[in-house]
Amino acid sequence: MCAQPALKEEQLQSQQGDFQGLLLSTNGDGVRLFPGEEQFTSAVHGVSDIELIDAVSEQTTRSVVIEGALVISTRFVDVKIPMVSRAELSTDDTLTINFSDHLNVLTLQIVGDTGIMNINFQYTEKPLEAALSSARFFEALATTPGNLVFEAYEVGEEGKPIPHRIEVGELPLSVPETKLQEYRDRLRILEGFYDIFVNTGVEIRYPANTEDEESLDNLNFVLKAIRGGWVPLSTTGFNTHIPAADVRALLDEPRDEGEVRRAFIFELQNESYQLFGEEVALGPSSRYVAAARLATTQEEMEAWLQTGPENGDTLELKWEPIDDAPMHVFFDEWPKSSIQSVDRELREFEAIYGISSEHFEQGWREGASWARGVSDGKRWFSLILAREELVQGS
Amino acid sequence: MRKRELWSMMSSEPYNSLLKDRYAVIIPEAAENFYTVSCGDKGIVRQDTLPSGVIFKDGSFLTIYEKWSIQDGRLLDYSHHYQVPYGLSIRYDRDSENASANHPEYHLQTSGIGKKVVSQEVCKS
Repeated sequence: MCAQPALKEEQLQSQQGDFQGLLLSTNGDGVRLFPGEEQFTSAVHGVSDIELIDAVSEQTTRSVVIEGALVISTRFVDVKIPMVSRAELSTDDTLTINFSDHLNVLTLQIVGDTGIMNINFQYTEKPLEAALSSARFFEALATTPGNLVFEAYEVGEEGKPIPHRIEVGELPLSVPETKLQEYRDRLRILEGFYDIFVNTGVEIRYPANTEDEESLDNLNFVLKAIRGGWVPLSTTGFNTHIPAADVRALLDEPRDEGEVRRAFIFELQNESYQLFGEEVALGPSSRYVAAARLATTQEEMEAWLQTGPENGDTLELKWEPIDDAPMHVFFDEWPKSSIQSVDRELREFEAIYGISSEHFEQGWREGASWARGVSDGKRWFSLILAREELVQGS
Repeated sequence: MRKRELWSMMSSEPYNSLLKDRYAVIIPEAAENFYTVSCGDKGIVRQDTLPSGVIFKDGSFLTIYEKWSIQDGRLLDYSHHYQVPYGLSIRYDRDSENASANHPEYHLQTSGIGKKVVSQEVCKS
């Protein structure tokens, strides 16, 4: 592993329990965990109360339930989420409209013509995909200029669906920046859980216990592993296990400034981590430390030898990193290539350059100057080819 | 595999100590006949582009794109861009598909030369 080993390098089989470590940049670029429930109020402009009242007044009862979809309508695209709308007229003719999804992950309530929207989230323990879908929708509500529309279909005379669109208000919603940042962190948590789900099949739901620091550390570790395959750890120490013959050799070894120093490569058969009650297996890994000193004293080693260890007995040696040398953990199997991972990369290119991959591919193949002028066009076109090959191979 | 070579170099000393956060995210994508490794955000790297890819302690950064043949392990395409925020840059890349009499296959471009000067062909490595 080491390109220019400065110290004698040892390769050993090992296991997770022999290491203590913390992410080098603890939460530096990691996720934070906020409670999965919250309720707050936002101003919403342009509420069209007449349309809403008409929609209810046409009914014979004073309440009506309609299944449909909430739509974020922008200049370029519509973003939809299935919702149930429940509209009720009180005795004083105040109209209250609730929009909620089937699992009540996200609920929006508008009361009368106050221009106030009550927003309620319940992510905790909800199915992951439903929670993620609602979190993405909310982020769009809070950041995307456009209109919020409720869309429902009525079955016409010949069985044809007739769309009805009711304007709810203007977007983006007014959300304080601190709140918005918390919601983005929740979204990042859910995106992280979804990455883990897609790559490992383990579904982790938004946890009730947001004080579980060990799981949060493990989550940041696992996300680094599956997204990049390389996790640097700040280690305070680690253990190796050696038989009596090797202990004697160590005692006889000439010392560098009075210390035994080594570089280490550890091979681990499997690493797995507990995340909010679920176990995520990452598979085999290699761990590399460029420089460590032996912390077990000569006296301790000699005392162990004097106990008369038998064949097969080993002494646990303690090692400490020199000059804060990190422990690098490498997972060769991560990140995995898949159609989904290629698609995600392609979507990023499309968002940056504002054109579809199909359009770019056509331009590139035709040698169009605009396509050839795309700064990382080669990278984009390679991904398109990779996707074609992956689809053919699947 | 190339990803492992890059890991090996960047995790060893003295190079690792030069890296901010002591690591870099290298994304491989493997198809049937080729694979790519890339490091750094997508889009045009400019003077004011936020650092990504291999980020050094002084804030400068290197973005990497390489395309390798699986069959014979040949390097098919590459593009490397080193950028000092609001300072110098150097970019070298190979563009085999577009090579012509007016368009060299290999390019070296630096901030000192600037975009208005036609890129010059350099010797093949």
